[in-house]
Amino acid sequence: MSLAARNLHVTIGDRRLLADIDLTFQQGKVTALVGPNGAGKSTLLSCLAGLRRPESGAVWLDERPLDAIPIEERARRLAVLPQGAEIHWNVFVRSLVELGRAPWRGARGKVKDIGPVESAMRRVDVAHLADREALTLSGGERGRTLMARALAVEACWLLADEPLAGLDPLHQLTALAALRGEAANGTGVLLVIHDLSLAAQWADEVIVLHEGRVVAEGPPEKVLTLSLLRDVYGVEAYIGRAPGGALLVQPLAPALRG
Amino acid sequence: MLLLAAVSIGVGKSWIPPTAFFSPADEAQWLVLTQLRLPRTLLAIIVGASLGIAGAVMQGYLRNPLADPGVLGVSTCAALGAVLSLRLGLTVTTPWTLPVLAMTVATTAVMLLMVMVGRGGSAITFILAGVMVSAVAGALTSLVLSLTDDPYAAAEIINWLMGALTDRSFDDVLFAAPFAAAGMALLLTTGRSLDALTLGEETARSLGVRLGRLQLTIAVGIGAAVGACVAAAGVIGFVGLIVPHLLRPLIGEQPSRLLVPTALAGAALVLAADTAVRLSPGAQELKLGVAMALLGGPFFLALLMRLRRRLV
Repeated sequence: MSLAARNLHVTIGDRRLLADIDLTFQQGKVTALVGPNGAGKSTLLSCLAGLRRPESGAVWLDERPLDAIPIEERARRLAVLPQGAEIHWNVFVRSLVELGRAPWRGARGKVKDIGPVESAMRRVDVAHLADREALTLSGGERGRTLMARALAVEACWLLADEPLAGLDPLHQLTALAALRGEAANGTGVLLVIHDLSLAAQWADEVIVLHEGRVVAEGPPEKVLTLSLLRDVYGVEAYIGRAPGGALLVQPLAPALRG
Repeated sequence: MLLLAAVSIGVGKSWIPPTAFFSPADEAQWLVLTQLRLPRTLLAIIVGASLGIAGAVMQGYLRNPLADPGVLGVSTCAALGAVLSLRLGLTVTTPWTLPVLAMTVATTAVMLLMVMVGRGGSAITFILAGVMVSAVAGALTSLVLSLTDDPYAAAEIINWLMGALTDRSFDDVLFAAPFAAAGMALLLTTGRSLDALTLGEETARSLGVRLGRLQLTIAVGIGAAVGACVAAAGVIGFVGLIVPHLLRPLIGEQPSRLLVPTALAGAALVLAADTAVRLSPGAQELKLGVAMALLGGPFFLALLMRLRRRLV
């Protein structure tokens, strides 16, 4: 079971968003996509999710091109959490999370929906908000609700674009633990993330994108180096170990150019 | 609604108790009931239900509470189709051309709007495009009118454009009912997709919603339902706008749960309005379309004000 990008190219006008992307992802692992703003992380994620068609190249899911898989089946196998998704109507949190079960409707008879919904809400700590209306939620609560919606799909792949945006430190950890839990159950997890320390601590693999190309990939401690941070992000950083042994990657100052 | 229907059958220039139905002793009363009041009541139900559900679906699809077949020019386009067929005199020889043209033009209008705005187009673009379509269709209707030499024909068209359920026969009901029903049935299938759209188009697609197919369903459904109504009763605006708003505080904002209630409430609203219009003083009845616009316009503005407060 694998998800793979083969030679992806995406351009808008004369701007190149992605070039020569060749990646293979494995199930049961958490992969972090990092890179500066505009590096192409979200574009790559939406290509992998089948929401955007690359100019050339293709995404393969289990040895089949994504285009050849019917959208209903795709929806059951790939759960997607887009960046900063909005909630347009003032509906109950529970109804929003239940939308995650939509792909399973009509598939192989009646599916039990309550279990996945309740469990998804519990894992990102929104169970107590189930009967709240969307408009009354704070930004972080909304983010967690949307994440619960994506978890409720129970797909074999979970692609999340900045799922930690707007979350407080505790809930960032809760969310990451939930994603790790998914991976432990065999789900392939891809997430776009900006906090490099969290990426270093929670991801099995880190992929660094810069100007539409993959500039590094591998285990965090190999990939996240001082010289890479200088070249890609233009920052001087501190890289060290916390007392417990966790890898810390803390940008300190803009790098001196020259 | 059943009560309203009973009242609607009874009310008119002269009150006829519903019991007259079952005692066809008085011939005149019986005729008025079956040939005038009953079709009028049925038509009010059909028109109200269609417009209500069309409004709920458009608002759900655009995720914007200001959408309505009237506001977006769909009704105006249906009217243009109908007026064209009236002007060309087709209705005399082949009466079915009027509803068919009305529905075709209405469906085309919805599709045109969707194509113009494109996938991922914002609700604002959609509404602006709708206002433009509405203006063009209105201008074309005026053009057709001004090219009509026969003053009687022109007067008839204008009268019909104002929207009314006066003097409809069972023929009108029979023309409108199947198309309106088919259109509404199509619209009812969109509930789940509309729910998924609550989270935006990307998420909806990732949940397996085929946006292209959804657009087509909505275009044909609204075209048939609204076209059939306009063909039967002229332009009656704002029903689709008002009804979902009246219901949201009562049954929540989830789009799929609004569809059936908006059809019922739409029917009730038009029934009530039409009954009230019949009771209005004066030799000439107030036109239903005019009454709804007088009611709907201020409602629309009040809605805008409230939304503004909520968004700021």
